[in-house]
Amino acid sequence: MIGLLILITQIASLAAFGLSIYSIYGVLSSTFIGGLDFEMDFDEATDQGSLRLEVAPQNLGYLDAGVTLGLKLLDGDGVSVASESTSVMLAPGGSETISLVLEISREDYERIALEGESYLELFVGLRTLFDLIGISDTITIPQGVQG
Amino acid sequence: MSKRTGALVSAAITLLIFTVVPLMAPQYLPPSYIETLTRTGIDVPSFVNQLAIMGVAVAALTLVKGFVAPSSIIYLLAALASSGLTFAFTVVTLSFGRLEELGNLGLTTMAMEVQGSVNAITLDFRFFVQLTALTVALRMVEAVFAYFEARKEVKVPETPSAPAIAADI
Repeated sequence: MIGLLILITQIASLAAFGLSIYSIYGVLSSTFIGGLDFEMDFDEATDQGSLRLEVAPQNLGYLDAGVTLGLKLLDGDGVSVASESTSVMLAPGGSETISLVLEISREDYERIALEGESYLELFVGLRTLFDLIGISDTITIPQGVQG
Repeated sequence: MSKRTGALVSAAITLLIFTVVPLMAPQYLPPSYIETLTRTGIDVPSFVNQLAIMGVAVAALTLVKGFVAPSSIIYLLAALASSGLTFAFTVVTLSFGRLEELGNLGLTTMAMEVQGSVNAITLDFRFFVQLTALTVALRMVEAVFAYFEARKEVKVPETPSAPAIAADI
């Protein structure tokens, strides 16, 4: 009886591991494929700068996958100037376009431009297998490197 | 197949999968992969050695179990140690052999710098460590039950039956 329980647990564990890795790989590769494009604009009418990021993750696996995308602008001292994040749940085979827009005031925009040093922090979080396992990636890009 | 032959075959397979394959794998990986892994803080040679050592230990314990009686305390200790090593193997594998991460039991953080950008990756595989702990606990309970069962079976033939005792008198 215990032997059967062990066998079932081991097979379930292996299957869950394989399915989870497949889901994670599929979503992450579709998120980062072709690189990440950031668009920065300054709207004179609203007197605000904006930084836009758009990605289209696709769940190629067999399990639901929760994707969290976060974007943060940090000044030279590492203090957050603006941040935005959003989460979506992707069903197997599902895809969704996620857009994040950071609004930056003229004051901060000019301060960062004057300091000449800032960081862009991108967070990509992914959880699957009923939220039991996950992977997250935080990329900190110094100003001038992104693009 | 006798118990000893079975143990020899099982030990050979264990040695092949958990020692020979990890030791040979880095030779077949592109150098760029090894370089990327090294940049994330994974010491590939050390990781491979850890897996290989555990493979040798598990193979040795498999041999011990094949050559001693199931009623022996050595058999029970080998079975318990083998289960414990399975747990250690899972933790080490999910921590990529990084000793400082072993205590996190499946929550591993790696960081690397690429063209001035800092990339911090966190892997949360704690559920699989917990599942392995459950399996290992069940295997240990099974080993203890099997040991006592074997002891019982050894004792039964030694007990003289009532007519035999009467005949002796």
